[in-house]
Amino acid sequence: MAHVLISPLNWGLGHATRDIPIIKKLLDHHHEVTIAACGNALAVLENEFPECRFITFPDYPVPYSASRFFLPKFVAFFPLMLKAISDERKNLGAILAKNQYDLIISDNRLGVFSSTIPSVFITHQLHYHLPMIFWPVELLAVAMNGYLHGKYLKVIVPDNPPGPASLAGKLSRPGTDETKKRAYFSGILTSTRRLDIAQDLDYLVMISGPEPQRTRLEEILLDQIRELEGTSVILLGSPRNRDKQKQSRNCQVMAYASTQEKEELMNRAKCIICRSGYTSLMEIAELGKQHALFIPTPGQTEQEYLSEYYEKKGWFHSKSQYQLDLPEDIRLAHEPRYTGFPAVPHTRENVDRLYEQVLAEFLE
Amino acid sequence: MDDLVLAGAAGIIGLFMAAVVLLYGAYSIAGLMYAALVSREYGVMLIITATILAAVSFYMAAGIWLRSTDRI
Repeated sequence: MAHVLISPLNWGLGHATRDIPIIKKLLDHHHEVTIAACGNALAVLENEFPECRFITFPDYPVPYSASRFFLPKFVAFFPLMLKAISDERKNLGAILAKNQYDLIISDNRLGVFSSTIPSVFITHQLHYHLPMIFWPVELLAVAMNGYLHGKYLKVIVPDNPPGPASLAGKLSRPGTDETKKRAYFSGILTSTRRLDIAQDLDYLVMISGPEPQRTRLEEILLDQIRELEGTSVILLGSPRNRDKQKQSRNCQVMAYASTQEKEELMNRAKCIICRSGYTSLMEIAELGKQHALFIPTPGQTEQEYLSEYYEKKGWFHSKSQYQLDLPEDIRLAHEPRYTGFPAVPHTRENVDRLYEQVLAEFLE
Repeated sequence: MDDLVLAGAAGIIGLFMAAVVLLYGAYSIAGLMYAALVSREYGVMLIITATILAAVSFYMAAGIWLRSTDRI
């Protein structure tokens, strides 16, 4: 039995939830798992795995902007980010001094690695997408990623290998030899499972992501959803606003849904309307949904790129929240030119393979 | 100090220095243009404008080429 330290980033819940199948697999093999995280990521994993040990391990402040101009704020944010990474390195030293670990798994936490303990990194972004005007910075970021990946023995990419079935497109394409040597394409990893239930819900709207853009999208969609025919459920993703819960004949608004409730609703939905965040995309791929409408968070270049990429591939329709016309965009999303994702191996198969081909080497 | 933090600090200093050089360059060119305008040297103004346009076009063309060939 080995002891694994796993540390997901707390920028949204996506990093924590995609680690759930990996943690389950490690526990199935009777390994001891210590989870070092903070905020909601820590809360979700504490709820999911009461048998694990937990350490509160602060990460980086989120650089999301209230305006469309995410990038300038992000650039100005670099010094603060560096200070947070420096603190993270010191805190990690203290954690490693207190306990013996056989493997460190860092989900997008740049400072979580050791030169003496095997360390692996999980990311779907080997390549950052920036507006074209910043192309020299994009090239520099490729080199920087190569340097960062060099700190790890393996870089686990929750995507299919580069090629026609790649869900992250250029984001998961290795740009340097350092990254190429280490990249392991595990296929999608998500905690959402396919259930054997009827698809009896016409639309599931999932409003998520950082404020204040989450609230702006909520306002836009609540205003337009009345124009849709058919049954719909809107998940506001905002547990503090329980007073906003209401139900009309065809539409139910839920402030918050538990992981299980959300999983059930996603399975029941014929069409999903959500942000083009990579976690949601992996969930849709796992469930094999054919119809979805993506609305990228303004200024988040990763989501904007994925929306554009899926349009080009003819997989799903996307629209900016500023130009959204829900009935018309839903009609477009159902056009036969949108085929949905190609069939991809499911999480269960992927995580079995990941364990056998990568993790077992360090643990057995 | 940790080498990751040192590399990050060097990268940030490099980025900010590049921004300062860029801003200083823009300021110097604006000064040259103003001096040429005051002294009515329209030929010099034309050369500076053409050089700026050529540099911007080259920069944008390089970006478009990198994107269209899937390098970035």
